[in-house]
Amino acid sequence: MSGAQGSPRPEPGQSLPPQALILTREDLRRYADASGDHNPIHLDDDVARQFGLEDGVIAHGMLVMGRMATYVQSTMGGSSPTSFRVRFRSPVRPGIPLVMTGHVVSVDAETVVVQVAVAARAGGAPAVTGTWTGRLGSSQRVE
Amino acid sequence: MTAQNFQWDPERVGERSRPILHEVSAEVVAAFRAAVDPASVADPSPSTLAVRLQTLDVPGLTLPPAGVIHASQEFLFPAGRALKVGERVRVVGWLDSVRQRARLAIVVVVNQMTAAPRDRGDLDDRPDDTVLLVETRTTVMVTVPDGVIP
Repeated sequence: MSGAQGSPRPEPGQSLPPQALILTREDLRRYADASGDHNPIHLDDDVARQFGLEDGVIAHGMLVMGRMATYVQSTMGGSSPTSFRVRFRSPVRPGIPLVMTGHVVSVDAETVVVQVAVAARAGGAPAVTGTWTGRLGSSQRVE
Repeated sequence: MTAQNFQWDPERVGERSRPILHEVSAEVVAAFRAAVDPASVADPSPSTLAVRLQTLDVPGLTLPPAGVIHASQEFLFPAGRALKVGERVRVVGWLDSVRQRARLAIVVVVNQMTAAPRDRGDLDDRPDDTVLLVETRTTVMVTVPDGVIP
């Protein structure tokens, strides 16, 4: 997790560049195969509806979380995660245009805290929110 | 990889599961990478990705039954180092708490992944001398069926 050398030190309040995201049914199937989580609410519309998901299948929470982690880490240079916490506030469905956003909450000598969210691109409350804490890369720390 | 879950028995809160031994395979890392970080597939070096991919679905982490609501998820990485392909890890999990609110049960499941310290060989060499690589805390909400007395 060494990451890029020479990445700039993050600043409190700094926004991460928004990133578009659309999860496809193929993404869900691929994640199910990788993780072993073949829960049919992620793969079968009929079963999903039986469990009250009227619009059919929903994405694995962990798949969304993984995409969020990738998003944060790709913008945080050499930082490596020490914790990542997310809340799944509403289901994420395949085929819906989403946007990931984030901002730096705090930075001290060695760590950075980033808040991140996934919401529909059309607007509305975030479906997933999270707090990512990382140890700054060697070039980002204050000695 | 996550298929080895333990039973969700509210009578067994705090009881640790049998340890699951797991070897970090290049194939699984590649599969997670394709799912979670597709843009990186062109990158030939998977090693730096291992901690954020492999541990996002820890073996032993519960596969909640269909119908439960995955409410929140936490990952802690206390060792501050990545997993390596080929490294062997041990995972233990337990139901940490079960709280009842009306017809909703809030269940918290914890899993811990340990490995041998980098400079001390494999898990089998000194099974009691390990480092905690990852701790996960999964919170789900389960609707209690009619007729079941909480």
